[in-house]
Amino acid sequence: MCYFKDFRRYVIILLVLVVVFSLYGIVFSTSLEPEAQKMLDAFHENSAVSEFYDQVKAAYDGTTINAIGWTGPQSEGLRNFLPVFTELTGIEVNYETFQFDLVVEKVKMDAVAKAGNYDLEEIPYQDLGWFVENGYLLPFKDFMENDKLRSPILNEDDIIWASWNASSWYDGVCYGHPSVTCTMYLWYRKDLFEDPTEKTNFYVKYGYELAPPKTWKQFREIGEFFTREQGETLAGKVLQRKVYGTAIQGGRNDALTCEWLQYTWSFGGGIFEGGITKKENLIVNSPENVAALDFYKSLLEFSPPGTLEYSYEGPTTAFQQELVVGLCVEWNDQAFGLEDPKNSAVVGKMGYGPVPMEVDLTTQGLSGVSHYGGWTQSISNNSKNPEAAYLFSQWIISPIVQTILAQKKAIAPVRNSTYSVPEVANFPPLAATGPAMADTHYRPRIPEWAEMEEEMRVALSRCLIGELSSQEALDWLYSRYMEILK
Amino acid sequence: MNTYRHNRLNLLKRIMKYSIIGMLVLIILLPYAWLLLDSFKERIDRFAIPPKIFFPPTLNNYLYAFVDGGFFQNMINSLIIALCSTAISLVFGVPAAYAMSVKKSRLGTIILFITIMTRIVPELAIVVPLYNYFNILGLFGKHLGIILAHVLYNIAFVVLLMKNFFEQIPKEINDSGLIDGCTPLNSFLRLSLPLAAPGLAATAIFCIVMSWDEFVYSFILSSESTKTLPVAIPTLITLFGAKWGQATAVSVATMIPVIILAFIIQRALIKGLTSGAVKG
Amino acid sequence: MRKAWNWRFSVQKDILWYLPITILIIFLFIAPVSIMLSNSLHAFNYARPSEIGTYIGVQNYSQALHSEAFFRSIKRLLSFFLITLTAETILAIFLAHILKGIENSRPLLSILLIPTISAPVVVGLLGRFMLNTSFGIIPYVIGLVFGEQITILSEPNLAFIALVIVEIWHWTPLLTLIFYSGLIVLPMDPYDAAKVDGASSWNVFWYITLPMMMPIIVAGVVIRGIDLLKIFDEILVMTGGGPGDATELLNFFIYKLAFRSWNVGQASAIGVLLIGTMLPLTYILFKIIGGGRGN
Repeated sequence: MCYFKDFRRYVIILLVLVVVFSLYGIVFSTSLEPEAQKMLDAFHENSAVSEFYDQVKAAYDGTTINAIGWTGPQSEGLRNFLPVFTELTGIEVNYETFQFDLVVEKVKMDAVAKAGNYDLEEIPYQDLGWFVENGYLLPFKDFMENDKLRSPILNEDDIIWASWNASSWYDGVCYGHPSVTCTMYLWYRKDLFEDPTEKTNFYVKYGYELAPPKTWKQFREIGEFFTREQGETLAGKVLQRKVYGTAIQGGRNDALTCEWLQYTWSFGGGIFEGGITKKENLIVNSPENVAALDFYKSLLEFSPPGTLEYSYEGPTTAFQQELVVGLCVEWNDQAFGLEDPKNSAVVGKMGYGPVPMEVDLTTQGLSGVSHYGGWTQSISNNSKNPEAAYLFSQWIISPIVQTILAQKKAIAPVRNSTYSVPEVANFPPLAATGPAMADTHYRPRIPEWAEMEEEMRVALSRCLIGELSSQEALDWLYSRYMEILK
Repeated sequence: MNTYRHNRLNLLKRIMKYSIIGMLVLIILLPYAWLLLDSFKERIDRFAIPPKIFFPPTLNNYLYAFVDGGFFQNMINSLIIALCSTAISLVFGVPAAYAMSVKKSRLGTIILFITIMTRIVPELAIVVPLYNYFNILGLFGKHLGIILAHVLYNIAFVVLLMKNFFEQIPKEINDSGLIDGCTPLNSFLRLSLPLAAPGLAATAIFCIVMSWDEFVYSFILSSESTKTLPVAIPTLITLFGAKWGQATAVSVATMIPVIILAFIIQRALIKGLTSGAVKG
Repeated sequence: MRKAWNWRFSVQKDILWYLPITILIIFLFIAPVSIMLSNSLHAFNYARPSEIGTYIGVQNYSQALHSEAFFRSIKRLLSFFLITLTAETILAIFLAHILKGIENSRPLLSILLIPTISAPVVVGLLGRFMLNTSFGIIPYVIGLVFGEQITILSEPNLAFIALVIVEIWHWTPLLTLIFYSGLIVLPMDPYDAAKVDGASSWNVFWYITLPMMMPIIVAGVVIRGIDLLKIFDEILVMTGGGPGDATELLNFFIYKLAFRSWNVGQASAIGVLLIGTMLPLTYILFKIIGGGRGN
């Protein structure tokens, strides 16, 4: 019986703690922060916009929508300004974010169960086919043409067409707005490339000027050049530990397939010949692809030991800490981290440029090879508040929000005009995005792609760890794809 | 001379024994100590090579996680779900366990078998139909959905453990109640249940801990506002770098209530398991 | 009158006592499992939208059984299962004996329980955090001791071993506790007799302790074994199935199939196969537990 008294005591203590924490949490409710207030004022400056939102508020005040997206600077940046949207429209937004794999899972689960738990969903563009062909998304046409829902500053022509087309248009129908313009390009240590000692040494060793590489052979040589042991010098300073010339995103995750596809395309390879997504056109084990994989694997020699665990942020952290001091191919939004003084030792030292090519694709009329990787904001066809969801997406891509988020270095904006804003144009990672978007390659957006991508991860990973040769891995992948595709 | 050798041997044995225990405690506690340490580190200190043991501590990780990140809401969710699912599991499971312990019947055998099966089924296989099913009933993202899933998860334990505890109560006590004119229900409530109280407490704590730690059902069936702590942890490992600071802070927060419970549980659990073992 | 009481007693027991749990089981278990069974017999591959819902009989099953990846994950699961379970059992018996030799074992037991009651997700995070090549403390210490920088989570074999060790660390305390509680209630007579006969401690263990502990060892092993086959949370957080597919055990494979490839039909088929395979285990556990009173 005395046992029970002990138990009761603990329960009471626990309850008290809970109550205390609850009060603490309630006390921290916020009123509109100064930055959010500034954004709100920007909206009210334009009378037409102000009027528009007044009538929206009258119609939709009190609605609540559920939005889901992926966790990144753009979602965290957006989260800070959600109260502005609520002020303008009276619509409450429950904004959930998860990391990449998890968010895709949740959204697909919701779709499959026809649950309608999310109104606005952020979907990676390569899954668009999966959603559209299963009938899970609402076309945007009616929303965009509806006067009551159409913002005066919507200005569709300003949206980067390459981005919008790849993210949200399928079979000629628009299913959403692009949420970010992510693309891959070259990262390199501009300061080291311009260092006189390094330049001289490089010329002596390789016979040409140290500069952002135009071919993969040059890329590899630069990677080799910057891989140094502890005690050697780098730009005049003695190294306290070993440094590496490059890094690959070699972990078994989405980053791996994206990065490898970037290499493959610039080697002239690909998955489907001519982009026609039919079984007969499968070229996933072509000689170009094998060459690309061999080359990709060979970079392990100049990559840090943890490179086979890296996801998207692996190279970012490596550059931040100057573990890698050469170059690599990475995403534009990852570069934000490099320019963050709190975490990065290389602020202002990085340069961004075009991805090297193995094959001169300019003969095919392409100015370069970049890998596009954006997302679309789309509306579930089971949503109970589709108009409110549309208003939210429209608000996110409004020039005001895009500009402010880009200025805060939270987003790679989806509007052409935003790239001309001074802070954006002067921010190297974003400045380099424009040119990279000129000619981009896309992953197949067919429904089978999710499964194909998963198999690709396994194949690439097994090759990188040495279990399979490049040819074996790609041959295996080819046979799997033949099974997966109709 | 024999005693001398004997003492030496004993001493050796004792040294070995205590050093093994020392090592054991170290192996168990070191990872947690490292976790705790890390939760107070700023990012720069975390990635430092060689790893730092002394550094200026900060509470920022906890602040970001709980105030900005809303993880304290997750904690509340975990608590609500753990308590409710335990209560429901007990209410539904204890009567059945009692009935099984008192008398062997065909129905009881079938129920026991199926109950054990609920434990065997891999959560991942069953969660998709469960999700579909709960959505139709409108239970998605509500606490009740996750609570019910956790009841499913725990019910086997409740039945097995309580059956064991009830079997320790001498049959005569049950029968004496009946002889005195009690209804079976009364006999159960007034006699058997109070006697099995320690076992009940142990089972309850066990269920709370299992529910608190559960991941698969919580992840699939929860929404932003009803997420539990274990679900929140993988969300901190993002494409833009794992927010290790917050992740370790949240992990510590997930651990502490459980550790407190561990100190309560060990007394009751050992008692329960010990007396149970007597019977077989 | 006594007879009438007993009869009423038995009827009431059979129905009323079991009613709540029966409702629960039907609602929360039988229903989803039936849906799962039905799913496994239909095409539910969301990569082929036009075919969804069509009845395809055992095609999902045959596809699964022809899948190389499926067998690889089973093979891995089995080797993981055997290694981990054996190690845990031996370790737990050993530790239970050590514990027995200590007077006040309570604080030690509390500490011992901590890994077991930690959320698997936290344990996976701990593993990932400490084994991380870039800043994990374990590769660092190993580097200091052996002078060579090694990577653990990028090597298939090492990652697998890491998973085994993490799992052993996580659950051995539970087994230890179970064995310990079985150990301390063993009757003293055989031991006294052995002492008189002058038996060595190993012989005492092998010929007396072990046979007497058998029932509880078997119970512990079965309970632990069942949970071991379902391992998932730690893999998700710690390795994501990689590197390659070295840590892709069966449960993770099902997860991939259901939630990444969205071939729900095939995943359900594998789930059904798994349940079928584990029925013998269920039966064993049932026999042990359902032994009834006064075994």
